[in-house]
Amino acid sequence: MNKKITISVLTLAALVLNGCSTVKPWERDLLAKPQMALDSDPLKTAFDDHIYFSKEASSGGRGFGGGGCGCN
Amino acid sequence: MQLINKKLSFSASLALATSTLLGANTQVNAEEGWQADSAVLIYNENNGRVSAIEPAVNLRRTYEDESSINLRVVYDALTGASPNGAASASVAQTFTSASGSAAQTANAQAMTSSSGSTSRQVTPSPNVNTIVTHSYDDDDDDDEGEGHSTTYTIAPSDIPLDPSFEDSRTTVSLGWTKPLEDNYTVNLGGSYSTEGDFTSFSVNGAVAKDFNQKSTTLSAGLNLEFDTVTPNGGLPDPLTSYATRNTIGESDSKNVVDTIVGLTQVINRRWITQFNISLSQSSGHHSDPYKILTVADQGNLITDPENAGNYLYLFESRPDNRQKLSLYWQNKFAIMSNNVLDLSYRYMTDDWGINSHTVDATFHWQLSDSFYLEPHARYYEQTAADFYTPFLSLGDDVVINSGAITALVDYASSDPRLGAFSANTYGLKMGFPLSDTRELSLSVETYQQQDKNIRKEVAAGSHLDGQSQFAELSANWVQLGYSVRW
Repeated sequence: MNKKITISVLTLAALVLNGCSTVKPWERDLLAKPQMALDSDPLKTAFDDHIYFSKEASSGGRGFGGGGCGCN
Repeated sequence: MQLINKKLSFSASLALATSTLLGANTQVNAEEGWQADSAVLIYNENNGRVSAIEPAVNLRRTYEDESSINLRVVYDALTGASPNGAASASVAQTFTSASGSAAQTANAQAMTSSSGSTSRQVTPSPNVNTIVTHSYDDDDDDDEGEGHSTTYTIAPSDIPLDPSFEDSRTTVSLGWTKPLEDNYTVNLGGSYSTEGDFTSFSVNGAVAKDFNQKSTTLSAGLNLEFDTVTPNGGLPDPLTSYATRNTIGESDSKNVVDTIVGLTQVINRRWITQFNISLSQSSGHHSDPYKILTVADQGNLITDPENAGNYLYLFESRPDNRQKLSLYWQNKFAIMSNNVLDLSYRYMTDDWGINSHTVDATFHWQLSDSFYLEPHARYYEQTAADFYTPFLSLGDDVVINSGAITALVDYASSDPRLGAFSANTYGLKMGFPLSDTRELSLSVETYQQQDKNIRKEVAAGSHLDGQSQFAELSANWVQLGYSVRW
């Protein structure tokens, strides 16, 4: 069931995004800036995720959630 | 030459996009060399709850072929008080932490009994603070080096917090990323963490492929985690008397399999988006060995039939399996030449009945070459697990026949983390790039939960009448970071 959802969402996303024009390498000046990285401060992200992991019932999403901890 | 450089660093930022899936610690840096990121987190919960200090170091070596290895070490020292799960009541309540051997626990229990019975005959002053009694262990059994049990008394109307919460945790993670032919990138990693009563070991791997001149990246990853819990005082028998403290063994395990697939797409010159679907299957021991539940009769605390002089509390019980599905969508928008808006949304649903929504927004505001600000806001809300309850009711959830306690429910927990609540975080990061290769940063965050549970009815004038049924958490943290590249 979940596999089906996964495949259909990915297919749909690929179809939609295929319509996007390819951004040429010389147009990637802004995208290449460190602040445009999807995770521009990995240590901060890790600290924050660990706090939320130990205080809330959700974890992960961005990547693998949390890692093992007796705190949860 | 400049074009090539830009292309190189962009492929690095896509590599980063993939690696966020991989649980690895990649930073944008395609240049050959070393990068060290260090940070220290100081975390504080209000009302004397948990405080923590966490130093962390991340060391990364990038090679000429853009492959890299990454090592991260995090140390985590925690102290303070944590909700034990019992309900707040209009009378004083006495508890014994499970941090000693069976003999000490029995010894402390005797003390509990005497103060427990006193508290029911004398009307305690509303200003009684938590009274803590330690009983020390002569033969150190290496239980977190503490070797003593603690008896503590909670004043009327206070939320029962176990004041003996103390632990330290060390985590070491290793990761390796390598670009291959045909626009493939692979990543392998592993992580080990150890604390007083818990160890965790995990291995992960992921593969990513770039399409459309690196405008599109598809990735898939797998993480396997093996946890062992060895609670102080043994593993309690779920839904049996807290004062009797029957154990079912010394330790137990939990295994987690996480799978994740993701798509990263450059929409245009100013917009990059990422969409992930992840599935997590966890099996084994999920109950928190230190969490208990009050058993109440029409809202009144009752005497433990197995331990005269003690109120009745039962150890919590959670299912042996949990399956979670998360959808995560992140967008980064470049605004003008140096500012960036980061907007993300996560939906999570699991088979315990918890659904959650998380919205996160961060704005990178570059004020000069040597200074930027990042205001941050996050909203989170979750529904309660099906088996979450602030306390158990005699008759409905638990029956007592001829002195024998029988639970009518299979699972029950009053852990606030499984309750319904919303939470707001507001934060600000200040960044000081000192040169092209060094940066200092300071961030502050404040976090506040709000109770969203439906109140459980109790009889007017009973011990639980008018008492809080959920321990809302508020916390603040500060993080100081320093990065250098060479």
